[in-house]
Amino acid sequence: MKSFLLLISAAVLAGCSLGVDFAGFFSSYSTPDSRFEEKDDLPYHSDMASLEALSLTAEGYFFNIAVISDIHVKDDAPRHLEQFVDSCLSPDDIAILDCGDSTQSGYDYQFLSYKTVMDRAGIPWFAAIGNHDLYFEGWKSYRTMIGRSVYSVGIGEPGNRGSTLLIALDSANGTLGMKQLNWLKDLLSEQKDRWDHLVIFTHSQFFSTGVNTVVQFTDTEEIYFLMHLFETNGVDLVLMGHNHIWDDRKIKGVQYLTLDPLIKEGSEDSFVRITVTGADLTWERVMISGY
Amino acid sequence: MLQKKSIVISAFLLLFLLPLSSGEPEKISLESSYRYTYNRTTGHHSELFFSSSLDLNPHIFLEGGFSSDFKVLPHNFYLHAGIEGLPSFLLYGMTLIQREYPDYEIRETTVNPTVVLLAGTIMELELGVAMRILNSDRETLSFHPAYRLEFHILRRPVYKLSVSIANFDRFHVGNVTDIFFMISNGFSFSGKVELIFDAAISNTGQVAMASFYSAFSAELGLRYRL
Repeated sequence: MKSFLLLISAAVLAGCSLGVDFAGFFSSYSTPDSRFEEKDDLPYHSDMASLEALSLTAEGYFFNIAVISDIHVKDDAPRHLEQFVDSCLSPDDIAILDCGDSTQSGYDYQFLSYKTVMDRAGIPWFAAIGNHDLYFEGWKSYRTMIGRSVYSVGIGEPGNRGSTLLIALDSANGTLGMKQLNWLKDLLSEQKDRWDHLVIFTHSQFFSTGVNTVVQFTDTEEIYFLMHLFETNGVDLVLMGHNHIWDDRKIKGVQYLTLDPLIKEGSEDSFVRITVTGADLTWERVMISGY
Repeated sequence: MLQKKSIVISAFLLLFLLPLSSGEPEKISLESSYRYTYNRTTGHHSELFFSSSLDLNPHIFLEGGFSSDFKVLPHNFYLHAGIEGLPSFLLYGMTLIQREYPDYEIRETTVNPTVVLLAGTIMELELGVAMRILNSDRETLSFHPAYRLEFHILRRPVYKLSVSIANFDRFHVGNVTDIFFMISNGFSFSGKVELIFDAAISNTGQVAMASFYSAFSAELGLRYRL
């Protein structure tokens, strides 16, 4: 027993130095249901003026959205994120989506560093929460510094050409939880005919790329439920991260993308650019080089 | 479609009843169990299982089974072939599993080769690879690590107790993060009939260090050795 406790203590201490919360193997500070319940009391990530500007993109016949994932900000100078914001955005990009793991360990100084650079982009940005953002009781900082973890945002007016509804899902614990799942069902049922395009972004990915996949959205039946829900409600695009390995699949009319991380380790760096041209929605994987 | 289902049901009933006609009674077992699961995201689930196993010789055995969720029969089925004792601490297995999800119009087919290390000792470690495809659509093909670590705590003639950590069982292979903890009990009556009771909890966030205990299940059944 003593050896076991010693081993656990050593693992937790080692985890602290790596920025990985091994205590999270046994217990987390928040649950998907508790975070969902807070969603209406928390702000969006970008300021309201930016959001209103998005909804006023009524003539949004043509626009781009840049999508990134797994930035894992560790310190005050997130070099890769800075390069993305400073060099990779185009004038046609009207918003940035982030598929989660914005920070490595969920510390407040990491969220502050992330938010400072994202705000520098000068366009609205929206994040989905990742498992790393929950480490070391990270939800306490996330909720105050970043905001809600489940929400939807419209671009353009419903019914107009090119109108797009973005839906952020909280899969940081590998599941949505029943409350969020019911909310999603109702939202898609109400909104599916109002918008030209439906885009979903979340952290945990549905598909394994091989036996080297060590993290994934957990429950297979929940994945099948969601795939069927997306298919029957006309979702165009589902964006995910988490795995740090690129993957794209089109299944029953729904395009699923698992993004590269915005760090060099273990994968190529890239981001996705979504282009909306009226009734058409296309995407492109943009490689980043020259760090 | 109906004819195809009838063939599948007949084949599995035959497989289930086949051991009854065999001449080596000590190497045959039949099993039936009921499992209730409460999942905090997807809700309540019930499943009724039937399975049988047949030892062809000291090294080769076959297993098969089917289950129903009380809506579809067969809801799921599996076929398993194993080689054990070559050498004594190893066991090789190959399992074919098919699961139906009619509400989502999905048929999941999984092939799961595994190796059991330290078979028959107080601890077993089973490792494998699950190859999964949905509706025969190549776009859905995926590969998953499969793992099971089981400790035999007690092995008395009338009572067996074991605990295990795994992401798969005979009827289902989960994703790599689909970890569950199970405690298994077996109460033996007269050496032929065994009452089995398993209880398990699942944690969807554990592998990603974002723990969330997401499901509880309990299984009660009878195993009959001929």
